[in-house]
Amino acid sequence: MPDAKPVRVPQETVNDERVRLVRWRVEEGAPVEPGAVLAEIETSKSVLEVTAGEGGFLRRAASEGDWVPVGGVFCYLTVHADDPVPAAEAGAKTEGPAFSRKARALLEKEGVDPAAFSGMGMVREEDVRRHLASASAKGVRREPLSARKRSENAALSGGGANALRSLAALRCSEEAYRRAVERAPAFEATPSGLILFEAARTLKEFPLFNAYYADGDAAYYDGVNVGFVVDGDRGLRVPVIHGADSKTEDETAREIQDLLLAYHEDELNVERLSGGTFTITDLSGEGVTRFDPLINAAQSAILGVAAPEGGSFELCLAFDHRLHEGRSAAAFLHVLKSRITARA
Amino acid sequence: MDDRSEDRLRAALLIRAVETRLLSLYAEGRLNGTVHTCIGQEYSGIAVAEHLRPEDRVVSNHRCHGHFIARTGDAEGLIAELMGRPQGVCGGRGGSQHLHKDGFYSNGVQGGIAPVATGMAYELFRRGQDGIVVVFLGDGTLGEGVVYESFNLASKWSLPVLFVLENNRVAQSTPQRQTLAGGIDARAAAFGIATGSGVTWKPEALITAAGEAVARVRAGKGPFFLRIDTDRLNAHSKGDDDRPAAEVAKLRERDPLHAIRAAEPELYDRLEEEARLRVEKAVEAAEKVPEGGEDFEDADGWRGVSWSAAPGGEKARAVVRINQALADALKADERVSLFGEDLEDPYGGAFKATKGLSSAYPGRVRNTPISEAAIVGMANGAALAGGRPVVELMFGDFMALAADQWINHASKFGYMYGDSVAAPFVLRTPMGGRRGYGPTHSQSLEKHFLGLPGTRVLALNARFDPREFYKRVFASLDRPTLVLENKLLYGRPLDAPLPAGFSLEISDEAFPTIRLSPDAGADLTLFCWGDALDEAERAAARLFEEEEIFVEIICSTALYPFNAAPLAESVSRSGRLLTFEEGLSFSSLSAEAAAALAERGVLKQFSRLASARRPIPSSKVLEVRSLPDAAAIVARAKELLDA
Repeated sequence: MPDAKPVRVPQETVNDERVRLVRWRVEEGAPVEPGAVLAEIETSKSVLEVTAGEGGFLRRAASEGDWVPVGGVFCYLTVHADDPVPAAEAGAKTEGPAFSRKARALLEKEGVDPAAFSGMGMVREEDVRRHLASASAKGVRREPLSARKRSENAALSGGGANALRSLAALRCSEEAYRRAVERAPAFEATPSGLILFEAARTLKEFPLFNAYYADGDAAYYDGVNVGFVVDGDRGLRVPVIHGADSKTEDETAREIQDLLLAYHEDELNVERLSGGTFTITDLSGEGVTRFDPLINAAQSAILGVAAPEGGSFELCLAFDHRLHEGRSAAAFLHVLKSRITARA
Repeated sequence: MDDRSEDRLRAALLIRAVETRLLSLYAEGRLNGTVHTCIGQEYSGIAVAEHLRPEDRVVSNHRCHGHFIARTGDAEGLIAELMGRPQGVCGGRGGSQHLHKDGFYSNGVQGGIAPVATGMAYELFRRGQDGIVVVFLGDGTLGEGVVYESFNLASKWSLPVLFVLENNRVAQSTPQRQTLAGGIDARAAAFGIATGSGVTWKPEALITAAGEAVARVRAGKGPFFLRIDTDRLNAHSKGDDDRPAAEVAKLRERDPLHAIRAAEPELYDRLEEEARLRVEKAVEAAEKVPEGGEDFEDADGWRGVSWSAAPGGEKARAVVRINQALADALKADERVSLFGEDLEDPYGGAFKATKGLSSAYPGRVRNTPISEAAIVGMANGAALAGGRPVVELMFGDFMALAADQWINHASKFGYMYGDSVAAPFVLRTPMGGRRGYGPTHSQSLEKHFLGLPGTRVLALNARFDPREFYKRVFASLDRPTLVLENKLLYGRPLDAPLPAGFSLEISDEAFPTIRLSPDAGADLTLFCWGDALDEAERAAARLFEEEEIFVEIICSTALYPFNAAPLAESVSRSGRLLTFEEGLSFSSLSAEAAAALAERGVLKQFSRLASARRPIPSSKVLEVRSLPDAAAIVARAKELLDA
């Protein structure tokens, strides 16, 4: 006899495919007697009480307000208070783009990280092919990783294709940043453009952060193409400034504004959304004081700009531990920070 | 003869002079359309009108001239109306059978006026307003079932309505003995309605009987049935009287005017001449103004729209929001009342849309008998009397039972009464199948009710909050409004996730068009309305997932008047239109939408998906095969793209 008996949503009316869990009547983990009222569910016709068929410890598998399919499990009754219960059933909301069946098949075949398409809403096979073509067309130079990194990767990744993500954060004075922006009038409208400008230059000093992990190699990009995340009413997009390290402040600021305008006009084309070698995401406007952004495919790091708190804000660098480690990430951040604060 | 009798005689002679002149005008080709005269029956209207007060309402039928003049005295407005002149009481739109002035309303379709009058009485009574309602019916109308629905409701709800049955023993050409079984008074008595009677050839006694009837109704004793035996001396209309001349001649002998003329020739001649002169003057005045001064607007409703992101769905089922919307309306507006079948607690409606409302608003949410024609007819009447009734028909299929009220009454009042009144009410009903309810409880019949000027037809879906939707309905309620709900929609959550990758927008129309767009250019536009949106969404998700076809869905909430512009805009981008509906597509909104696009040169590739051309079977397997679903959309979309 299994130690966790599933309790399923009863079919109460012919009209309902799902019911809403209105209210739990028993605390999580509390013992219940047979016949006890476990929860209230709302069908299209009324609110009903669901009772326990047998006794046990109640282990919730849904939250109040959730929709639970008729016949689906909304809780378990276990013999002991701490018996393991199955993980939540799959089918929870998935973020990110939708992939067609063919696109997904190609992704799996080619081992492409779905995150490469995070700027898109719907991905067709054709989009995956275009991505593969643009990745292979890029000028890259491959160098084998050190033996130490290879063994570390083997130990940590277990053969998975995804990055071994890690995060380093460095606090930066809000006041110094503000003064730096004041002295760079080109970035008055888009202050984080200054960070992008300086990050592009920092990448020249740290080429490994402008590379990605490829089958045991570090694949270095020739160019520095910095993408920045825009998430407004047109959905999440990552427009890219190509050759960001060789653009002037004015050029950089203008291009950011052009890209933002194209975003709002829904005119960002594939060229402007692809080819990124590093990404910046700015959540300072969202009041988030620290976060761990996801690294884009065929990149090894992403810089997050967090909201200020107590006079300073964090620069969060999420990186692929297969290429980098905390120390190199810290060095990158310190150089970037000093580039910014030196302008203040 | 005393003064009052003289006044009655003057009125009777005026009515007769007007009708006699109308007949001659017709013969001279100066009058368009038909004329039903009440020559011989004049004292019927006069006897009743004498006891009425300004706040009372009179509802009449095709033979209404006498009632109208007796009630309003406006012979000039009547003559101008029949001569089609702008200064007619309805601007020449109504003509002989469709008169309105103050509290007087007539309509030419038999029987349907009975529930309209009952509805007026309901609204006056419900809101404690003074006034009673009189409705004139002919004995030929005793063949109409809706009369008995009205008797039943008026009696059960003890409404202040006086049913006057003018018994002239002939219906057009058919003598009563061929068509009437049983007794006349017994019909009303069977519903517990008190009855009385009089005859027009004894005017004094008739007036007394009418006075007692009116007084009884006015005293709050419920409806009353007054039978007035009378004689129609002329044809039903013109030249269609096949009664033997001797029979009619006998009737002429007991014509009350005939008797008065014999008794008081001098007075009679004087008043008759007075009436003749007045009528002649009225005819001359009418002819001074040309007919047809009205400007016709014939806009097709085409209007470009702008779009905004749709708000997130409420965390509730559609039926809960409908219920809240109805509660909102009851709370906000005393004029709002609900009636229909099985609405009251504890049942709360077959689909629970009215649950709790009869308890929260006692007396304002009422169960009716199974009388769809009377339910909608009463909504018409209550609305004309200043109410904002909301009625429910349990199944959309039952709209057929109320079709006369929708088509010949609701949609006509506004225009035919010279835009001086309207019947602002809400008719809610669920359409749709997939429940195994079979041929007569699963249909989507909206196409039969679309396109009637003066009405509005709207359809709910799960992507626009029903509470907000109904809020807009009530805020703009200026005409009969049919709101299509759907059996499956009731239980749908409003916060279901969108198909992955799609974005949802709504237009800036009062009843917005819903647009579900893929993130890249659409290959195909899928048009639907109502709960068909659910299958459409599933299909759009599958078409992307399985076929890499990008579909844009356009879902209208305003079916009539219909704005095809948002659809045209989408199709002009995608190049292809697939329409999807659960009803039969022959002459449906799908066909109409496609026609509108074709007229503008937008339509290139087009296909229709609709119910199979047969009634909807009850067997699950057969029903699934009869009604198009997401799989059918996927298949048809592929064909369209491969073409």
